[in-house]
Amino acid sequence: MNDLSALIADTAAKVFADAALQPDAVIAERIEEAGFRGLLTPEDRGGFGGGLAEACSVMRVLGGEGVSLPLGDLMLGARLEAEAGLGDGAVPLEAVNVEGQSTTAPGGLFAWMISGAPKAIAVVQDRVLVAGPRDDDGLIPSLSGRPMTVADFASGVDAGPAGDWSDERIARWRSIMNAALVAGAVDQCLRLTIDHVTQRQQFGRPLSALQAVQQQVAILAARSAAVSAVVEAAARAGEPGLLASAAAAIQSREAATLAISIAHQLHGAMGVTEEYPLHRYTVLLMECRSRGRRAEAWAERVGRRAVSRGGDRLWSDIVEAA
Amino acid sequence: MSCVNSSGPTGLRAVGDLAIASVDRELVSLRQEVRAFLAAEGGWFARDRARGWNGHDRAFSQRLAAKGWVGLTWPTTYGGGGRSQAERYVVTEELIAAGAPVSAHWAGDRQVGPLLLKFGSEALKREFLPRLARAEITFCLGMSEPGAGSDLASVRTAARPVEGGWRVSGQKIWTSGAQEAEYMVALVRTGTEDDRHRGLSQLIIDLASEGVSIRPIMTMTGEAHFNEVFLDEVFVPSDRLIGAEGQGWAQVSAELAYERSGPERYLSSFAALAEATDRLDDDATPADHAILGAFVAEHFTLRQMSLEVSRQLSEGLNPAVAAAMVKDLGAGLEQAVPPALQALDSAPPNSASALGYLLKSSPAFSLRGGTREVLRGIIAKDLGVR
Repeated sequence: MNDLSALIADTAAKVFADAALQPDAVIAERIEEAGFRGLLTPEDRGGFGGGLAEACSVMRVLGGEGVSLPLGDLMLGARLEAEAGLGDGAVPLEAVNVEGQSTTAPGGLFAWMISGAPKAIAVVQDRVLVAGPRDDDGLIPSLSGRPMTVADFASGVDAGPAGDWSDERIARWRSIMNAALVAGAVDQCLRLTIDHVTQRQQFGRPLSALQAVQQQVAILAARSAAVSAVVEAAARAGEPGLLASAAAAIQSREAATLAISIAHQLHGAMGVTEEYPLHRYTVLLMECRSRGRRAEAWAERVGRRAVSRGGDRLWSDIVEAA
Repeated sequence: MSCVNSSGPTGLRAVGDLAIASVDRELVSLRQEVRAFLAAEGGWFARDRARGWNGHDRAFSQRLAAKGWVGLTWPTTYGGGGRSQAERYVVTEELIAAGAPVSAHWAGDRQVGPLLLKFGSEALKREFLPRLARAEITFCLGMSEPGAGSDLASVRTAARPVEGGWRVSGQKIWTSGAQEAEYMVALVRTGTEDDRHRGLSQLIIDLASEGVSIRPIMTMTGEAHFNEVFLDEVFVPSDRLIGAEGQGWAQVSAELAYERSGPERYLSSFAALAEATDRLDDDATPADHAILGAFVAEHFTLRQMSLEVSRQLSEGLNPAVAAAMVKDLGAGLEQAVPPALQALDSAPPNSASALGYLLKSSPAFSLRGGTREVLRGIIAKDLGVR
């Protein structure tokens, strides 16, 4: 983590402290006050001019608090809008998650909301398109209970040319930022689990005295380190390539699934209760598995490219990948 | 914008980035040099590539040494290259990915050299390091015994003090490359068995000494790179002690981060993956491509983790836990690849292919250099759950 990212992580830790216990409107207000919406927006457009590393710092902290907000989409959306000549970055945000599924925008569709109404942003045929929710859908609760809706890009507003932002590039940024959120949440699952197994006594000794328990904790710790390593590498590189983005999606899925299974198994029934914080991370991780392009689809792209380039280039492609 | 309270150390960052960029350029040119060298060597057949660091070819190691790529990080006073860990990492990963036969210099370069530099006497450094850097001699590592595998501290091979040195008796097993080696770094008991860790020392044993017999062990790959080494009253002069008497355990533990985090700990099945990449055709299903692609991505991930450990090593840290994670996840990847690739093929694997070889060699990947269970124990201990 570079110095700037560390500073931003400190700020994020203050902004998101106890965020899971606050109403969405309060978190939204704090996000705006901190200026996180404009984190990725260029400075000459009134933003902070940050990059992927800074965005990942914020996402990781958010994941560590167990708050399931698609802040990455908000930051990326603000940048797209700004670059396409729309959006002043000053409208209050509402905590409504628009997870776009519209058939008119199949690719790098991402979501969010401003200005009192849900709003989704996508790149369709090199144009930035801004859309509201589909009328007939109303709001559907997501796994975390936050309202979610489907965007209607057929009636979207054309904000302007997408510039350097293709569907593919958006999908890559989303994959890395989502992985940062997952990394924060998985790390917290690990911490909670360690605390629990060292304190909880059964058979006259702490659970951690059991080798079967120790080994499960170690498995989770290694996978947590793996997802963090991919995020760190992508953040350092600044612009994620196919391989890093695919690795981020695949590691996120693995780590999320393993964290949910191991943390709950080792917590016993305590883990599913409302009073204990594990459920927040569980639900966040479940939602994260559905965000962005599926891990299988990423893997298929990597496989196709590898086959088309041939076995002799496989190694150099791994080395040169960002 | 108020993301942070200050404007951020942008100037410092720019200077740091420049320094990194210049190092990166040097590494890129070194990498190209190594690739050109390997290309000129002519490459290896898939099955030989799959043998990885067990492949033995001293002439090859000597050609590599002539380029200055053995003992790369050691001080030039001892015949080393005086170069950085990052440079060694580049050379090592290119060799391993290409499946080059490195075993003639492998133990010396990876472990014995750093061990001697850290703990060896001046005389030992002068005697062995220059010859190791020229790949003139090969070392093996005498650790496991019939009664001491994962529980290495129960080593029983005993060194009895005699005039001018020790008489060593006992048996080592699973000793890789002993039949090709001139010397062994042996973990032996110089104290009593009650001392456990504190009774262990490391000695350099000349394998040409009287009383040494080496018996190769055939394995299911059809090769014998493991050996049993019998030591019967073998005389070892006192100046062949590495470090201090009774410090063998601490010294071995310090070595392990080097042994556990390198590119060889996740790339063992890479030859089969490259082979499968060439075999998949247009008829392959999306699921086939996804299987292949997920493994490629997993290699990317493990490489990032391994690089991070290497960075920590070069900063003088001891990243034993991060290294254990690399080895545990790396072995998991290496073992997942062969059966998954087997499932992609309609024809049964043949023994001339990388896949055929790796199917048989991979069960041991989570044993060598620390079993999966031991590694996870190390991780758990670090997390305070053991």
